[in-house]
Amino acid sequence: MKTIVLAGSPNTGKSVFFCSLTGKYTTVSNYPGTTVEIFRGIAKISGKAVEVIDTPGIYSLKPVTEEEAVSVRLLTETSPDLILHIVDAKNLQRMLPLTLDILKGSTPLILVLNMMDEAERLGVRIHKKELSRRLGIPVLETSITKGQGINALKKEIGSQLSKQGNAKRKNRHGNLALVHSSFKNHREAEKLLDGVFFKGAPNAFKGLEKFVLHPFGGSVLITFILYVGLYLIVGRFGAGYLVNMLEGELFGRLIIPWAERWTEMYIPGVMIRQLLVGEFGIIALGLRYAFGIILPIVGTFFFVFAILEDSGYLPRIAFLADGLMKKIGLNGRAIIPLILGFGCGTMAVLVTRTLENRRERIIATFLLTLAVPCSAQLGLILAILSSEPRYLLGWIIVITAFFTITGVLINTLLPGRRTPFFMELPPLRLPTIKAVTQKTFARMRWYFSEIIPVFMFISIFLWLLTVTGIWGVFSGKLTPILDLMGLPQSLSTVFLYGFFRRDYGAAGLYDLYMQGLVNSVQLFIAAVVLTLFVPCVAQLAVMVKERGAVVTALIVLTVAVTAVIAGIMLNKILF
Amino acid sequence: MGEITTLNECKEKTEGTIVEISSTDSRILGKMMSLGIIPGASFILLRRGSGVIVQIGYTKVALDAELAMLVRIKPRR
Repeated sequence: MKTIVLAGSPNTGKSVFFCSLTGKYTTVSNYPGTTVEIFRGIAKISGKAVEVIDTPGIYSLKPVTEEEAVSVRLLTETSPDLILHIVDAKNLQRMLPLTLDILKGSTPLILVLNMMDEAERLGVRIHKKELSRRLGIPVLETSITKGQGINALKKEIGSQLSKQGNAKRKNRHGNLALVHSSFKNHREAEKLLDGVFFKGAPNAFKGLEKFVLHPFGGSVLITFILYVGLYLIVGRFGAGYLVNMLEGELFGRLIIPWAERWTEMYIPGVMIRQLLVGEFGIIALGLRYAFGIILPIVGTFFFVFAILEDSGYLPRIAFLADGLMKKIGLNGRAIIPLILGFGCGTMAVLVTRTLENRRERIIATFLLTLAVPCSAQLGLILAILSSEPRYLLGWIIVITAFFTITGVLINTLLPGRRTPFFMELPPLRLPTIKAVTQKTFARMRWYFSEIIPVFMFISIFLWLLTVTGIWGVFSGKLTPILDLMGLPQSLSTVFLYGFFRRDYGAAGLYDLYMQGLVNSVQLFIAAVVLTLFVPCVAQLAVMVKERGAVVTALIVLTVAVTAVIAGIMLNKILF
Repeated sequence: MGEITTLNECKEKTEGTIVEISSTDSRILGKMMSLGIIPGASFILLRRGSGVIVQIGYTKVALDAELAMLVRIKPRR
């Protein structure tokens, strides 16, 4: 099968091309660095199946961050049959040098001038025929989010591929590895565009854009967005209203009573009945937590986050937060994985690839593990503690303090240096309902494909432990530690869930709270300890993959000890 | 034409031309170049905070003080 690679600078719409060529959705946003992995899909072009590869954006063939290195390796070390270099038409001057670099290899190339609608609105004009003649490659115009130009592009891809015949090509661009954008290249690009590219009106800096980036106005806006987005939408609506409806009404009054009656009638063995509807049963615990509690919270968070991503707001937050992030050894860039961590820590650890050096990736991973609660935790803790505002405030203060203090400490202890901050700010755009819902659903599908197998496993595992009596022994062992923190023994289950999935731990705590088994001080301490405590199994797996086993083990050990010490200290202070 | 200074010392709304990037670090040079920060390019400084936001062509770029200090410029007027 023939292979084509989508390459180009960050935030030029490669993933949208991937999606419209293959019909497969990958996350699309309005900021540089959305794609951190290579995605493969199959497209049908001129009646033939063709493999399409979507790559993380690169500025040149000399990678700066880890995800860029992935793309550069793909371009320099493998031999695709065709490369599509996708550029933002209005920024052609800046992006053409990369085209010239790729041209030095011998893979056939098509230059795609994307976002033509935006360029035309600004009055930019490009003589694509002349440009194509000068470069000696096909040049096409598209506005991919509106679907304009995709048919012509498919036709061109088809004719390029059929020209090559079927002979398997050898790796023909060994020399490409040595090339990188040089100043000479930029001058050459300038010459090439002379009489071909005409600038339009400058894009104005005014109104909202100006306000968003204002040192004071911008901070007010962030606080407002956090309040509306996290507290009102995720906390009150998702974790409050929706959880009540789904967990309380749907599961509590309909599904579980029905399942209990059904198993009573049709399942003979008590053991099997336990496995389904017992304390840790697949329906009573697993399904209820997954769909009744976690789904509405994670869903509302992903929705809010999708709006932020598509608006182009995140890189602006990065600029405003740069000064603060430097105090903990990171730069503004790191704010994006950290905010994503409030959604799902597993995803966030993957996105730390966009940071420039290993030290920054380790610090960000550590903070994500210790002091950034995932959306399920956050939503439930907001819901549980909102009845006692002073404990909610206390929780926010304690977690923020741990974030800051450990951040500053690790920055002083870890050898090495942070990197300077630079980031391209994409235009602010109004997110479309279609793109936001598509992304929210895609993320939820990913999330649930991760957690469904785990919850099945937890239910079966805990059922086995109870049936064999090991559970009693185990939770007995935890009792002295819980005692030190002033917590009842019933919380040992919660901590064990928390080890498998953070969100299940929080869901367990929510359960105990609803049953009135813990008082408010205990709730507060448990909320703090659970937030700080070790990450869930999925995040752990990603950490080992991304950071290696040794670093992961060190982080987890530090985090576990810190969490327990925090619990003991709070207990000493409050009782 | 004004005196040559660095991007970090410009006030908001300053317009001018980039003269050189005073660094020999190829990573930094490459980074700047790929964002359109190359000698001869004109810019407008949009915002100052702990760093700066400049517009070059149709690209808005955020740079921290450390990087802005390396960009030597000549203001217009």
